[in-house]
Amino acid sequence: MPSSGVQDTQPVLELRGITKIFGPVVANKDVDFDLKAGEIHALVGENGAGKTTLMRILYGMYQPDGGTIVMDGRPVGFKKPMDAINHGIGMVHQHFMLVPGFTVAENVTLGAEPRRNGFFDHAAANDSLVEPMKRLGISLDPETVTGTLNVATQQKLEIIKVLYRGAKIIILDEPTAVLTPQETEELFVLLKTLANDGSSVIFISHKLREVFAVADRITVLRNGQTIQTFNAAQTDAASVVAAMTGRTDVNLGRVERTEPTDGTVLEVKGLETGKHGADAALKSISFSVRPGEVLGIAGVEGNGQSTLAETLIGIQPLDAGFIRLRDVELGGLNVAERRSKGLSYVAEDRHLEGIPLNGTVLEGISAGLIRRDSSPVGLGLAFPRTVRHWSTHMIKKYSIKTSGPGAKCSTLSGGNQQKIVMARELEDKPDCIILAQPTRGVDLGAIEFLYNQVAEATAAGCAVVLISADMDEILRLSDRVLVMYGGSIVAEQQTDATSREELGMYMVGAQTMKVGK
Amino acid sequence: MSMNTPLKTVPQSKHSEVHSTASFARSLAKRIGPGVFTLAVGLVLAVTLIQAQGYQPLPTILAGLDYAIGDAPSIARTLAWGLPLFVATMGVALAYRSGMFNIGAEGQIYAGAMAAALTGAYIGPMFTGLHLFLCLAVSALTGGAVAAGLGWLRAVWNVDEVLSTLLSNYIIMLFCAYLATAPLRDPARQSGTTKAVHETAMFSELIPQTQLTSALFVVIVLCAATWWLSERSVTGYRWRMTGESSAFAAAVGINVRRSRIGSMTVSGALCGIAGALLVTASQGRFWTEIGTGIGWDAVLLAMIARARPLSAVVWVLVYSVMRSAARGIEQVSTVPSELSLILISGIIIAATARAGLFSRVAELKKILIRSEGK
Repeated sequence: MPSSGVQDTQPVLELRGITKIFGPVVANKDVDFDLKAGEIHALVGENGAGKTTLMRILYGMYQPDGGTIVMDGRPVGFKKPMDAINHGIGMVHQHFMLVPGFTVAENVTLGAEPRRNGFFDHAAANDSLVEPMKRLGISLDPETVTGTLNVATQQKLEIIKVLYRGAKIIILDEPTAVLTPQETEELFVLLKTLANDGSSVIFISHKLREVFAVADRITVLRNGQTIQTFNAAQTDAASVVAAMTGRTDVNLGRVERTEPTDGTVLEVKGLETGKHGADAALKSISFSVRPGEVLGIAGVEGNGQSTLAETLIGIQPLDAGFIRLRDVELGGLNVAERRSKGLSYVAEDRHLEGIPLNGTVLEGISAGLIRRDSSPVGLGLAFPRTVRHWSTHMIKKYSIKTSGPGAKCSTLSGGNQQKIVMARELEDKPDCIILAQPTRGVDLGAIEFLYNQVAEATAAGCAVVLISADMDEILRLSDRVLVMYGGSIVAEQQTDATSREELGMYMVGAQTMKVGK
Repeated sequence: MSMNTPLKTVPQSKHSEVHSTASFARSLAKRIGPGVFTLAVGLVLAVTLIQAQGYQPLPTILAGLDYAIGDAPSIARTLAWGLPLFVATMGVALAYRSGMFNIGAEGQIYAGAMAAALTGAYIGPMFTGLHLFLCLAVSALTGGAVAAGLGWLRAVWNVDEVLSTLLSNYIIMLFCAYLATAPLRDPARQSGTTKAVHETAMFSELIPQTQLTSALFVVIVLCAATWWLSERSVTGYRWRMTGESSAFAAAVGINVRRSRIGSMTVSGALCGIAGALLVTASQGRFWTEIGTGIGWDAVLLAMIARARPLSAVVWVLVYSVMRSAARGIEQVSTVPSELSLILISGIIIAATARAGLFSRVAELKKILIRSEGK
């Protein structure tokens, strides 16, 4: 339900004809946007549509090449974020700007500390939190060390921080990306409280369900231009998607797939690993995947999903347990050997692991073919005619938008980069493919295309392990869902027998069910 | 935004030739443009420095160039000096391509030179082709073994190769100096040198009095082979991908350890051969100052060439001429021959700044064009 605090008066903020050019790229072109007091206004669009650029201009991080910013009827110019802050604009970044070792009070007051005799005034800092927390209806101990708080609470802390700085206009950049469904609901309640209080919220998102749950109005950007501003109550998701993509036939629902068949392709039992990096260690992970089945693995990031993916493909060693692919034990094999046994892998960090960012499309797409060259010295030609022809064919087959196989990967959009990865992995005709965050940063149109490719592979009997932090992705594509929490599997459900809310309970560890045999 | 519109595909057979010539010309211009820019910066720097010494810049530079490339013997002399540098630069570039910053080239050159000097002096005399092959092979093995060890430290124990290769220089050079001054010293000589190698371990001169020897052909073959290995072969692909992103390489099944150790080994082997050429194509024996810093030159040149073998060859040519010209300038003026080093350093800084500068200029151009359009 939209908030009711909207006052039908002159807008508090207007962006008129904003234009911003980066080299050859026009990031914003004549963009108009306005914000009323007490309003939650969603800014939606595909990746690269210009949302972030627009907000950075508003926040004084970029200077516009054209257009004006008008606040309360007067044109203003922000040379740096501090100017925007002084005009009552606050921004909650996607990646939090908090010092983990500082207390809550220290983080909130950082940059505008209350002082006494030239020293940090602890008491005043603690007191200054009271008023913003009351407005939000939450309470936190100001002396808590920030690093010990969970992600959702840290986000609330970011909001307290902008309120402390006196913000009347709050920009939130993809705030729900790090939250579970329940935490998202809590955030929305909090935002509505703020709006009812007379503050205005700009909510940047590409998740339409959330946009409709919270926003009064929705402005759609596409290719750097304003397409349309909708009243949320008077429109539907289909119209907004059409405005975002320029197409009317985008499917946002369940992907059509054939039924899995009987048998076992991948069997994992008692998998244990040590701790690697920030992710959790695996604790006795067991599951199996049938031919043509998509097994979704849901969970808040950092609960062992990355470790699981890397252990399955062989980048990280396993301490105990076994991985069997069609009765072949993979545990002791390296990545290349596992791949030649029929395992494929789409890594979660596309720029680092998926493609050679400064390499060419040809170099990225043909890695699978070159891997099969088993000559011990490898002095033969890496890209013979057949490989180059094949790559041209793949560019056609996967509709990869690029000037050709010789183009640098970095010049392609996220969706087209991911098509390179998918083409490489699926054309290996694997028995089983591990997809880790396969559509992160990918446009809606390209997502649909990639899902259809996965569906085709499953129809041919390929088993899929789909690791995703995006609940929609899991619900749209998978047959069965496992939920990971703290390195263990805490729930297993058939996708059609569960709900977003139920999975959310398992994701935060509030509930556990007996899993495994 | 229409993600699913099929690409317009150009019929390959008909247009590809025209297309490729045009794009080749464009890519050539793209490649040469920055080089011309950096050379211009070097020229301005040279003019300034010579002017500061109170000489007429242009005649002085021309006199230097005349000394370097004025006639066939001059060109041969210039080229002869550059021969080991070609090989060493190729070696360093090869390691860079796989992400290994081998700045131990100088040490590996010394190791190779010592190995060649000993093989040439203590084994033989024998059939000259075989003797030379033996010298180069032993040098390659020595340099390769040193670099392989350092590569192994990086690949397995994650010892920073910048640090380890840098420090290895001192260990190797001082050890070689010890060998040349104590146990293996030629007693007939006062300074620290080893025994002269047999005549059969020396390349024959192609042009008399110029020191340009038949080693030229060895160098040409090695450069071509390095280019193929690095830019065309399957192994080169694996090494380049490892350098580009080791995470990508690991994910697609490339053995990152093997790539790192392998590229370092070949890199060290090439540096070792460069050292062997110092002995077998020029000095005839090892002495404590034999390298004269060409390992460091190779590190810098591989950097300017951004580790591409073809541009590395071009840059070594340019640098050899600069070195030789600087020596010529020294003879006609009081400008010291270190001029060439100052120039090459200036050029590196210019080359580093160039990327940013060029994109700025391109951006400005676009804005100007756009405002004209309005």
